[in-house]
This record gives sequence, structure tokens and C-alpha cells, in this order.
Amino acid sequence: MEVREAATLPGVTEAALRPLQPSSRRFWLIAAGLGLLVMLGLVAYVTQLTEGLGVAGYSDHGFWGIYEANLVAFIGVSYGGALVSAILRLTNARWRAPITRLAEAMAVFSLLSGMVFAVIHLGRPERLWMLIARPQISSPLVWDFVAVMTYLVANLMFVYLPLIPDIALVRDESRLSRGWRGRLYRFLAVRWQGLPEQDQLLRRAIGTVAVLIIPLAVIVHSVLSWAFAVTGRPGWDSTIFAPYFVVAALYSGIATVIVVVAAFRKAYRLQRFIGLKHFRYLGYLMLALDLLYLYFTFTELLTEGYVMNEEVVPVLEAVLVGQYAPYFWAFIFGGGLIPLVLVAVPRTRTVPGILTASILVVAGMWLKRLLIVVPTVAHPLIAGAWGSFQPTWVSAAITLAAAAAVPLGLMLFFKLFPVLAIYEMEEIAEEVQAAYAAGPQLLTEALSA
Amino acid sequence: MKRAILPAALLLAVLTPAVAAAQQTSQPANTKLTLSSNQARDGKGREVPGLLVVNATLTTADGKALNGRTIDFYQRTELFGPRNAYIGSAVTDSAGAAALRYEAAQSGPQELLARFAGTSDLARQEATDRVNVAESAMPFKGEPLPLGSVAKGLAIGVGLLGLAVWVLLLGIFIHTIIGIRRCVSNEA
Repeated sequence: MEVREAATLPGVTEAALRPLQPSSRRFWLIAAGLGLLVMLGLVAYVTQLTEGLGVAGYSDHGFWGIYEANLVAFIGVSYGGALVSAILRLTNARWRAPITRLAEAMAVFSLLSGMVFAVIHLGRPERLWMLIARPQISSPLVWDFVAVMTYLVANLMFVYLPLIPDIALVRDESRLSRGWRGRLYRFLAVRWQGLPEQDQLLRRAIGTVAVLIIPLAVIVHSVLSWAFAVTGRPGWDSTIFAPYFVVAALYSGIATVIVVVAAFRKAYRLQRFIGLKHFRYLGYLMLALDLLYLYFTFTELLTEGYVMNEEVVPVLEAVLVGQYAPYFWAFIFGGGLIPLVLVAVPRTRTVPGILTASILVVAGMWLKRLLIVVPTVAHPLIAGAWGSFQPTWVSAAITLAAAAAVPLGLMLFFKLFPVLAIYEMEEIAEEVQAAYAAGPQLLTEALSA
Repeated sequence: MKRAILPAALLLAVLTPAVAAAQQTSQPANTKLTLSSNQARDGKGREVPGLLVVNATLTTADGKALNGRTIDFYQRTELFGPRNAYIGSAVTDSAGAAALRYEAAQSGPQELLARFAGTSDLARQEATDRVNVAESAMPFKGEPLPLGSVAKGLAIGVGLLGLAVWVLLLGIFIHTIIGIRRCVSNEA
């Protein structure tokens, strides 16, 4: 396809618009596979609606389980995507440009997947209405709803605003903007022509939303943690739960950004724009958060284990040496120590090495969320037998469907919109070129940014 | 042959009434259970919110009171599907009556169930009753929670902050979109 390329960064427009071209059979096969998983999840949900939550493995001795772990995990992943983009924008890290679009879109789709679990985990979903009709303001669940909705709006804006110039570019490509697509692009491009005033307005808006999205993301995950921490149950009643959740979200989020970036880089041959440098920088961020999360885990276990409150002991025992110990140690090694080594050792600090570490982190952190929810719920507060949560085909199918919905959503989204932030990349390229032309002083400034 | 018939006839004559008697004892006698509930009242005759007195009466089918039998009481709930939540037990007195004071945690219509589990000689029996609880029991009524005013202030503050964020976000969005569109009109 021939497209108008900017002189500063030749090839970027063509590369960014590759997914908009007619797709290969492989693309449609993968999309169909993911679509089937989503459909299976829908069937499972209908079964759950008609048969009750019991078919998903829930009972009065295991009233929270996989759905709550999924809710925390998916929303956490979204947090990482949004924050990577926001922080890198605000610090004007130039290397961010090729990955921000993927990170922002991933944030929206994983957030939507996570939000679905707020409904799925209710045995009587129609009662969700009561959250609005008769809110109990002392409940963290009400504030969770408000925080997540606000975060969703901010995320949608954070994806859409930087897209406007690129949508205008697609609008002006006659071959790509026929029929309903053309109408959609014209509507979403809001008459963008790249005028300096328009550019100034857009920059200011993106900057403000980037500033707002950071505290919003912190609030969302803090409130989510309080839904656990304020219940007073052993294993949850912790003062560090909010920062613990926030760090977990960032850690798993950055790992997911790496996985998504690697997948789209390979699928659409974006190696020229997304190089080893991007993986290394994201890997360093992941490494720092890995250490921080392990530190939080150690602190949490040390204080609980040293005090040994009567009600905490059985939960700690079950997690460290008992029934749940294999999962816990799988998380410590698979989700913590092995990724740490893979990124820290220069020999394995390659794209496959960092990608392997990220996949391990995503899986390990999901397991950790399950370990936060299940042992505490299964432990009886009064004398009696331990409960348990045993996933069934229904809860497994719904979980798989939500996990499949994220890549499927991204694949379809990038069938419509450029996968790279063309306008931003060209702008940065122009800045660097101008700096080269202007001499060593400006060049030093440009390179140090 | 004649020698064998005589003992067999004798055995049959002895066993037939015994088997008949055994058959009679294996079928426990029918029982009758009634259930009613009413609002509990304090010493001055005022209704106590949320506190119900649940009365069950157990008799034989012909109305004879059954004394010293345990009656279990349940509330029908829909938690994880329809089920009976155990709320307590009481033993019948000489009039066959068993009463339980039950503090309802929820207001609205509720279905209560009394169950006599049965014995070898008395049949199992169940009875249900519907009751409308006007006001649920509130254990903390009249006792304000510590730091209640701080909590309320905090909730209002956080609510206002949330509202401000929404206004700011939507304001920025509308301002930007209108601004971008207007730039073109001005240029033209």
C-alpha cells in the first residue's frame, strides 16, 4: 500500500496501518479461536445464571474465588498499561512513542474484561442496580464502582485523544476510508487538520489526562484492596494492602504490556520501530517492581508470622506449608525469582528472555491473586470444617473467555485504528532532527530527554 | 408327612400375629405441626423491632399434645440457591408448644419453617409460615459508631472529590473537541 509518509520517519505510516489492510488467514483463524472461547464463556455464564453460582464452584464455605481473583488481576493489568503510558508521557521519555498506543489500548480492554467480573461474581446480577438505587456509602464496594467507572472514562479519553491526529490521517487515505469506516473516521477525527492551535489544545488535554490518570489508577487499586482489607478476615486485614495491590497491579501490568508489544511487533513486523531497547527499558521497570513486590510479600508474611495471631496461623500454615503451598511457592519462583534472574542477567536480557519473564509474571501474579482470595475465604471464622473453592468448567470457561476477549478486542481495534502513534513518533523524530541540525547544544538536550 | 404339617401350622399360627404387630410398629403415628409467628413485645406492650416470637405446636393426628420433642426452626433464604438457614431449636412443653425468639436481620417478607425430625414411633412433620418483618433488628441502634461524624465527613469529601474529577475529565474532553473543531471554522 502506498501512503503519504513523513520525511522525518519514513515507513512509520505504512507500518502503523498494516493491520488495517486485508488480513491474512492466520489472523482470522486466531480471531475465530479467540471468538469461540468468548462464546464458550457466554454459554457458561448463561448456565451459571440459570443454575446458580454453585455450578461455578461457589458455596457458603467458598463464597469468593476465581472471579474475584480475575477482577483484581484484569483491572491490575489495565493499571499497568495506563500508568506506563502516563508516566512515560509526563517524563517525556522519547522511547515511549512506539509502545504507548498498544499500552493504552490494552489498558482499556483489560479494564473492560475485569469490570465484567464485578457482574459475573454476583449470583443475582440484577441486584447491581441497588448499588445505584440504594448505595451504602460506608461500603468500599460503592466507592470501587465509582472509582472504576471514573478510571474507565479517563482511560477511554487517554486512548482517544492521542488517536485523533492518526484517525485524521486514515480519514485522508481514500482507500481506507470508504463506506461506514469513512463516516466513523470523519466523526472521530473531529475536523483535525494539524493546525498549531489544534495541536496545542490536544497536547494540553493529553497532559492533563495523563496527570489525572496516575492518582486515579492508584485510587482504583487502593479501593479494590480495601474491599478485602476492611473485612477483618485473617490474611486480608492488613495496613499495607493498598500499596501491595498497587505495586502488584503495576508489576503484572508492565509484564502484560511486554507480552502485548511482543505479540503485535511480531505479527505486524514492527521490529524497526520497537527494538530490544524498548523491551529492556520495560524489563528494568518490571525488575524494579518485582523486587518491590517480593519485598512487600516478605514484609507481610514476616509481620503476620512473627505476631502469630491465633486466627492468622491456620491461613499462614495453609499458604506456606499446607494445602496451598505448591501454588504459593510456584508464584515465588515462577512469578518472582525466575523473572528476576531472566531480566537481571545480561545473557538472558534478550527479547525472548524478557518475554518469557513477562509471561511467567502474568501467570504468577494471577496465581497470587487466587492465593489472596481463596485461603482466607476457605478458613472458617468460627469452629467448623474448612471450605474450599474448586473451579468448574463454568468458572474456567468464563475466565478463559475474559482472557481471550483482551487480545481479540485489541486485534479488532487495530483493524480500525493505527497500531503505532504516528503523529507522536513523527513529532519526536522532528524534534531530534531539528536538534541535530541546530548543533551540539540542542542535540545534547534532545538526547538527554 | 403329617408329623411335618403340624409343627409348620403351629409356627404359622405363632408368627402371623407377630409379623402383623411388627408391621404395625414400623409405621410411625401421624403427627400434626402448626407454625405461627408474631411480633415480640416489651414489658410495656410495645413492639420490639425485628424481634419475632415463633410458635410451633406439635400434636398427634387426633390432637393429643406431644411433650419434650425438639422442633428445629429455619428461615428460607436464596443465598447460593434456595435453602433453609437454621435459626434455632426449642423443646415442646406439655401443651406441645415450642417457642423461639428470633431476631430478623432483614426487613420484608420472610418464610419460616418448623421441622419435627420424627422418631421411630412419630412421623416427621414440617410447617411453614409467612411473616412480614416491618423493621429489622439493629443491634447498634442508639449507639453511634465511634468517629461516625469523621466517617460521614470523609465520605462526603471523597464523593465531592469524585464529582470534581468527573467534571474536570468531561470538561477537558468537551473543551478539547469543541476547540479542535472550532479552529477549522476560524481558519476558514
